[in-house]
Formats: sequence, structure tokens, C-alpha cells
Amino acid sequence: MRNEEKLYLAIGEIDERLIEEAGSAYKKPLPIKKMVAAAACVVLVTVAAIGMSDMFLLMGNNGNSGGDMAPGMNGGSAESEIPENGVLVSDIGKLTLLETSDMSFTFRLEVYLPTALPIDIYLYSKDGSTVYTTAENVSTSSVYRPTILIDGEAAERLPGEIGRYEVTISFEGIEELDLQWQRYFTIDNFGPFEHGLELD
Amino acid sequence: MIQDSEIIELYISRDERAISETAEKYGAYCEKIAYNILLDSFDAEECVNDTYMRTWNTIPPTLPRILSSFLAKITRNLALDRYRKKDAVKRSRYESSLDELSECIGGRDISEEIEISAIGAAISRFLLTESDLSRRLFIRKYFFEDSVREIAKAHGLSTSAVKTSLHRTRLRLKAFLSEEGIYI
Repeated sequence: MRNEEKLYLAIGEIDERLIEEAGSAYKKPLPIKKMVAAAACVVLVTVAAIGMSDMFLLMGNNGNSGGDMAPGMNGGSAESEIPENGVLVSDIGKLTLLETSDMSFTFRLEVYLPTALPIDIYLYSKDGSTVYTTAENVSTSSVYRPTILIDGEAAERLPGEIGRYEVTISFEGIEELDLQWQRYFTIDNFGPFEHGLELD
Repeated sequence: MIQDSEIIELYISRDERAISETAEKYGAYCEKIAYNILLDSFDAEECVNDTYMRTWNTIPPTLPRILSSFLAKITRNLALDRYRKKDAVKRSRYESSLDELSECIGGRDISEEIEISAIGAAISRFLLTESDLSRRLFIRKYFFEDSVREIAKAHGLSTSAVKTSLHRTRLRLKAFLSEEGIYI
């Protein structure tokens, strides 16, 4: 057996706690120094703005500024990525559609690479004014929360820990809203999923 | 979701639901480890089935402290055995890892008296001296055989940053093993 093979096998004998730690979701440490510096800059700019407030013009936001695109709102590029067989695969796992009924979608979620980043869901109206989402701090006029069940229990978001889950996502009340909706909803890490609902 | 202690209890009481519960909770996890080494879905699935049987035959008397790590080790070893037995058409990440780990070796043959488990214990001691991030990157690469791209994404890093970190860790490992008197 080559020496490097022995070394490789020896890595397989490391302490189980180290393996467990490496297998858990990684939470990036907060860059405290950078945050303090950024906060100081914000204070300085605010003080300067107050002192010069009569020189600033307020600009309206018509919702189509073309600045940072909201998640899931990547227009034509999303349509080319929509899967046809009800399965979404990403680096962290696999999402398989099990059944749909009314405004609900039940998936089997298999996570094999944990993620500390939230797995949020977005379903936007066509005019971008309204969204069903699990995300916080979304810059749209109206925000509604989809109902999430993980193995039958209510949850805020999809789980990011290793495991296999049955996930049900429901967009309750969407029919009562007099809006036209995108034909897909987006799931972070996995991409767009065509819902097939008659909501045009 | 069922707790690990409940699954272990099923093994101890020889309840065959232990295997189905293990598959439910850790099936995808084990398949990922196996696939990373074998690069073949069918072989990976077979390997994971072997993992379940090995676990069934091991618990009891062995009682794992951490079930996920216990399963990961079994899967990894079985995948390596299977890989070596078949003629690998694709260059597995395992071969790439061997090339990289050869940097940690000083050129002399490993003494046959030094057990692999003893080297493993030394590597554990080394990893405890490393930062949280570099330790995680090393284990995800050389234990779990995740790709550099996957590791980079999971940790919010560029691929080049991951490669640099791994390279430096390998050099420090080589120095550590030398200090421990493990000349490999």
C-alpha cells in the first residue's frame, strides 16, 4: 500500500466529533471590524446629509428601477432553467415533487451538504409589486407568507441540515388577490419551479 | 425527525426499523459520500446498502457516540474497498486526493509498526491546532471528498481560497507529523 493511501485511510480514523463538526452547517463569523467601520461611515454620511439636506432631490421608485434584481426575478434566464420532471438538484441536495393539490406542493427534500444560508421561497406577481416569500427584508409593496410544513409540522423556512424531509409549501389566499403571477416560484439553492397553477 | 438515540435503540433491540430509519435520515448523506469516491450512482447505492448491513452487524456491541460520523466512516471505507476492486474508468476524486496528500509525505516508507489508527489520532491532534475554517475545509475535502467548488460555496469562499487553504494545511500537517516522529 502506498504511503499516501495509508495517510488517506488514517484520515478516515479521525475523531468523530471533528467529522460531525465538519458535517454541520457553517456559520461565517461576522466581520466585526468591517461592520464597525461601515456603521461609522453611515453615521458620517447621515450627518453630512442632514447638514446638506436642501441640496438633495428625492427620487421616486416605480418598482422597475432595474437595480438589484429581487431573487427569482431574473426574467428570461429563469425560464430556461425550469426543470420538466419535478426534480431540482443543487450542490446541497435534491428536491423531488411528490404531489400537488390546490395551492399546495409537497416535495421530498434531501439535504446532503448542510447550509447555514436560509433556503427561502419566492413567488412574485408579474408586476413585481407582491410576493409570497419566507424571506425577511423584501423590498416589495406587499409581502405574504407561504405556509410551510416540514414532516407535518409548521416551519418558517426549509431546513438546511443534513437529512430527508417531506416539505409542503402552500400559497393560501393567492386566488383572492386580484393579480397575475409568475408561472414559477423560486427556491433558494435549487432554482425556479413551474407551479402550473392557473393564475394568469 | 427521529433522534439518533432512538435509531440506536432500534439496533440494540434488533428492530429492523433501525435500517429504514437510518436510510430515511442519513441515506442521502451516505450516498453523497459514496458517490464522491465512486462517481457511479449504482455503485454508490450498493455501497450504502452495504453500510446499512455493516451497521446492523456492528450495533451492538459497538455503540456509536455520533451516529452520523459512524455511518460516514463505514460508508467511506466501503466505498474505498469497492473503488479499489473495480477498474476505475474515471479518475476519482480519491486519486486526486492521494496526489495532494503525497505532499505530506517525506519520502520514507511508513513504519509497519505504526498503525493507521495511530496516524489517525495524530491527524486529529493536528486538526485541533488548526482554525475552525481550515479544519472544516480539510475534512470536507479529504474525508467527505466534496469538490472544491462545493466546499467553496458552502463556506462563502472562492475556489482559489479553498485550494490555498488546503495546500497550506497539507504543509502544516507534514511538519506536525514530522514533529510527532511519524515520518511518512
